Amino acid sequence: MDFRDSEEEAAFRRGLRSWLDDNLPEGWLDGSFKLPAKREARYDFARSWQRKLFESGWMGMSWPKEYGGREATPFEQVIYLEEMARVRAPEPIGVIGLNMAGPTIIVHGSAEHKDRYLSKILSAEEIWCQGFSEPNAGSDLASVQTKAIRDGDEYVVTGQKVWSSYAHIADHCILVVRTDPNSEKHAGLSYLLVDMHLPGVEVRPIVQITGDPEFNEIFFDEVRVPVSNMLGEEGEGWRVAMTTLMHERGTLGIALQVRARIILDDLVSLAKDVRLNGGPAIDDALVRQTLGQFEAEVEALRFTGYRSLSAFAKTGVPGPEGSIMKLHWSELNQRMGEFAWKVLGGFSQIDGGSQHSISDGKWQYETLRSRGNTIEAGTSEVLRNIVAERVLGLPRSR
Amino acid sequence: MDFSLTQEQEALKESVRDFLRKESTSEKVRVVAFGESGFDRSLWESAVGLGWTSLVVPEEFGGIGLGWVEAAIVAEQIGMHLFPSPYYSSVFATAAILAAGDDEQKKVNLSRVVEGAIATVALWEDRSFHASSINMKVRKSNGGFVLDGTKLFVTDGEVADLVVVAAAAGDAVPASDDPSGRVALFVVESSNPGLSVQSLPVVDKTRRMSVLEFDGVEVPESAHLNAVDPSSLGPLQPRPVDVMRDRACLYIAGEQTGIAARCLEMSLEYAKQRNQFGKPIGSYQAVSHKLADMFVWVEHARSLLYHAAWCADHDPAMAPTAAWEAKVIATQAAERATADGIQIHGGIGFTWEHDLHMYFKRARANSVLVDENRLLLDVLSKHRHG
Repeated sequence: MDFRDSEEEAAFRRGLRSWLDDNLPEGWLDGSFKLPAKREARYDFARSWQRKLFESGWMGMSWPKEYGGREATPFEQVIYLEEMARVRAPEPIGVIGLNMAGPTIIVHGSAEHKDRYLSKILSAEEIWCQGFSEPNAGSDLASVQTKAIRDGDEYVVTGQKVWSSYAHIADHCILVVRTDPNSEKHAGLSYLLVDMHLPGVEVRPIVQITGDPEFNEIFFDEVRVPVSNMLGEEGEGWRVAMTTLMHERGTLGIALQVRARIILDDLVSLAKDVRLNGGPAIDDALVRQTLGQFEAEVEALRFTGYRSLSAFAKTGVPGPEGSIMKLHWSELNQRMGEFAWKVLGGFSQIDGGSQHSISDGKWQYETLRSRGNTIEAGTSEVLRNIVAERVLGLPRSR
Repeated sequence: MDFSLTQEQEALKESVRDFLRKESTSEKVRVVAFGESGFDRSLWESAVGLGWTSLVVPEEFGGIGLGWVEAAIVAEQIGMHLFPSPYYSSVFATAAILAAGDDEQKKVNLSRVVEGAIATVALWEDRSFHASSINMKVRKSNGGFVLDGTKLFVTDGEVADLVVVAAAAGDAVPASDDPSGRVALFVVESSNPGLSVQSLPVVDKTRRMSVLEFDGVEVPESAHLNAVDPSSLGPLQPRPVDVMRDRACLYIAGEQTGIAARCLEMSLEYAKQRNQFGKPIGSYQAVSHKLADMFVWVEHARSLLYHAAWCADHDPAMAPTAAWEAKVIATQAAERATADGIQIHGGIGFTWEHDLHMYFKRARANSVLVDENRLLLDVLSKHRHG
């Protein structure tokens, strides 16, 4: 047991720190840098930031070197996330490609697939979206109805997908379809890589609880997709999709503890800034004790993440600890957001854009957005079923 | 970065578990806990024989010089098996002597503890431990000191051979630690004629508590644990009286983790075999989701426990907050697992016959030992967010 960096880990950390010192946008660290107000300009900024990272070898930490990745160890990946969080580095844009499509292609893709897609995911040249959920297939993903009928060298895809982030700017979609119209449930599903610019693809934005159109519906109307764009064999879609979901939920979950740390640090700053009964809110015992509770839980997430990674690094198999990261994080994140509103009191009701707003709408957005955390990437109910059945060995509930 | 136990630590864990499975069975725990004294000398001697009292004592003072990771391993297993013994008291007193004693005091006292002398600590006189709440008087006399006062919540006070006691430092002695200059620590023999012990009717019978009356207790000068010069410490440096409590927090975090883990095991087993409405109750989500949550908290408790133990050995700056975090989360895990464990077991879980009530009570007794969560959360936030 040793919580210090090994020599290699320390060198990795130093290398990333010095790269960030040299390459973060001017004014990033002192807070004078302002992200562009327009959404499209923010996308351009994120795209060019990701490209810069890629060109310097700082994208795709776990990916094979031959596709532009770094083949870093699990703990170097943690260091990467923690160092990025320390300076609150800008987010890359292609998160669906980086965290879901890419890792799935690495596991199940042919050499052609890997050559065609992987490095363009890392460089932000191509953006991906996910086409899994449907109006009648949410937690019960196996009841997907979007169909893909083979016609010569092509599949003809017709159906509707929903809750798809980035679809409005995506170049490709990882799509779960039913290739056998007479099949039920898991059998008869297949996994396609679909070009979003093909005729018959239509994307319609959905406005979320926050008021932002961050995700979309996707309609496929007889879209002709080459057979060679299938990942895995026909009928193996469920197995391939599970690889994607494993990565989405962060079997290793470590990114989530870093996000929790950032929110907690912001919450502590808020509690120092907001005045309550004549002093900073943090002087209130209940506020302090609540922050203490969040501190303990954020650290619990962190060290449970480390423990899971340590098992993974030793055995190649993620420990059972990993399965609980997203479950706990999502609920903790909601509690932290709700608590920010309690600290803000009346100010919680003043959105960004007023001289009276505190933090310019940040907590209004975060707290509302966090309601999605227990739904997206597996609802908390589904995740508890997974822990109960796969980790604890309880009988199936269905 | 490496979060795994060494081979030696794994072997220790196995040997502790094997011993407790055999010697700390439900029947045995009940015989000891519900007996007159709550103490079984032969059980204690076996634990001493296995080296448990020497784990954190450096070799130069007669121990085997392992560390707090090893102590945490033992604590977790003790929690799982509710081992009725004065081990917690012994660990706490050991930490006190290590933190506050000079080399001679460590050698003299700890070599006895290692060999099985039972030691405990007498800090509290009121609900919380705070320098201003210590009224025990100390005055100089015949080249030594005289102690007068009353101590509450003294664990294993009736069987202790040695007591580390906190007194209000005044003109008689320089304070050994507290920043406000009020706390001095002494080692007192329980055979001292001025010392009397009165047992308390405690809820958790697996660990006894008593009241200690100090009535003109005379001790030699060497009883004063004064290795640390208070004027040499910066305002933020932990005092011995803080360090010893942080170690005790860490130890209790270990027991709480074990209690939570064992209640999860028992409840899982029950949920798989108990049938209602024609199916195992573990197939119902109202039950299985409780178990999933118990698992989440057990895992967190264990993660923080071993991090805190490692910090106690290697990272003094992080050790305090790590210990508080560990005790807070492990206590929440234990309180949840014992309460939900009773609920999942239904009627049988509410009986004296079932072991759950002993876990439920010990989890709550542990939760108020050293400092309870509210105080720990407060000081945690002050340290981390100040």
